[in-house]
Amino acid sequence: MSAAVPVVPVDSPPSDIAMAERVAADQSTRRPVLLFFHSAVVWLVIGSLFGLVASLKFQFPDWLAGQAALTFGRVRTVHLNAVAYGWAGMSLIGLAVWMIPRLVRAPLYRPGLAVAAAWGWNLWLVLGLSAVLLGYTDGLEWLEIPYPIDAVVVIAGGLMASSVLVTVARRKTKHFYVSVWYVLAAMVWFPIIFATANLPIFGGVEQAAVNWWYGHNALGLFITPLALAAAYYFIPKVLGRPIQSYSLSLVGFWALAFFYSLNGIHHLIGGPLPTWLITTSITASVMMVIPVAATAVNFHTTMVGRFGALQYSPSLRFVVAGSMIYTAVSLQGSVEALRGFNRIVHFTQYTVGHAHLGVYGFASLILFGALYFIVPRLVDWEWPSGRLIRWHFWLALAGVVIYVASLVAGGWLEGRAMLDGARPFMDAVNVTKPYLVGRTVGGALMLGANVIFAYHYWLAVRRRGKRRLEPAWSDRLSRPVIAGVLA
Amino acid sequence: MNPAAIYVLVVCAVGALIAGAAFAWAALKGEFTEASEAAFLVFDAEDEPRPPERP
Repeated sequence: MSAAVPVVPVDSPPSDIAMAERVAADQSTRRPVLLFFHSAVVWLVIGSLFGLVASLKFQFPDWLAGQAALTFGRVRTVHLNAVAYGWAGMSLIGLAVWMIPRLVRAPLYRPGLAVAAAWGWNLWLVLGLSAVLLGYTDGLEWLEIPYPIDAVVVIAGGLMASSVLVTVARRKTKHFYVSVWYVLAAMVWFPIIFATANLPIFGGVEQAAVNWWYGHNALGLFITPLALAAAYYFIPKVLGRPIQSYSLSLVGFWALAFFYSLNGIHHLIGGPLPTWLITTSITASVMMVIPVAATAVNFHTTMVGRFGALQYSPSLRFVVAGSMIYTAVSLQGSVEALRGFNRIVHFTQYTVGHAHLGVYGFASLILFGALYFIVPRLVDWEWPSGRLIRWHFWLALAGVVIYVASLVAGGWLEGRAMLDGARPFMDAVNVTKPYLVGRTVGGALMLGANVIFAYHYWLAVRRRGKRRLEPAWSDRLSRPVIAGVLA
Repeated sequence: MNPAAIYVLVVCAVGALIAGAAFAWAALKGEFTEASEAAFLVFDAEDEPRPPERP
């Protein structure tokens, strides 16, 4: 059911043919991408709600404690899986499915495969998270969903990957744009790490090593490359200028490919693993400075002189904010992997703050920006309200800043207290209490931002609200003014 | 040798092979030498891209 290329006369100018190919590419992806995005937004709200409930339990430990399904261990697990695989996973895949046909100038191969993949992915999450709530879990972080249920997502992922990979194979371009490299890499890496980590053949300390190798790579070899693919697409696209140094973007990609996969073992510093294994992981974590610096320098030099455009383009505002946070969270991660620093922050709230800076501050902000760009093009209806977009941005940013700042400070104090042999363990618990309130406040703000976004998304796809001829962000400016800013 | 270790080694070898092949393919296809051409693939018929400027 691939979309037909719109008919253009044979003597049409090249620009008409190129536009027809673009239209065909967009038509072919509309259905699967909308299904991925609809699902992702629902999982975002569900996952955020569970996250807030988990955080509130730090202030009210007895709240919902009588219901086994709503105890902290299960609620927090549902939160993680719903936002990581439901929101981030499904929206990133939808984004990749939308971007690839545009970048390779070919319609999506068998869009029905991608539609089936979206349903399969949802089925996996519904079955898996229901199992977790009922108390069935593999007991491994990021791999809690029981492995027999994981067969569903293996099939779904295979369907989706085959559609995307065949589309790339049918490309009409001579070269790959850097975003295509990132998407292809994620499509190859994720099945390998997911299948390996889920095999029930590891035990004891091996299992811990494989678990964290997977847990860190789920972020670094799946979420990160897809989010960076989006940033490399939308920053030049919105500005109307190519990335400042394309060669540097390739350095960033290949350096990430070579260094990232070894990072995960730094989660086990101090554990009963060979020293060489942990030292290799720490070295690789520090070497991540190379791809991160390459990416940061490239984005910054592309933006220099055009930061004014952030005021007028919500897509650019979200994507650039997410890209800047990518630099911050990556450098924070490199420092966190050093033995002296890790000794203090290991087993503390600090790590929780770091993870949220990565998945929400970096990946989710870029995803929001991408959806603000893509959805009007899919539903042929502009976002109804510039005000809701502004509320969304500032609530999301304030929420993640408060959340991370609270846990960085609280985690540091917690770690120092735990290392002080003269202090009772309860000191380490009591010292974090005020910072855990910051965790809940930040989490509530992020939930508020997500609900606003979900409501606005619903208005847009249902074509509710006032029909706009201009993008919502231009409600106080005329097109010539915006063109002047972007020039 | 532990069977799990053998499995992990095989996975690593296959991964390295895929990465190495992709890198070699990219080099042979001119992905690294014709970068300026690839940089404009992000634009299409509706865009009017300008060349990059010195920052």
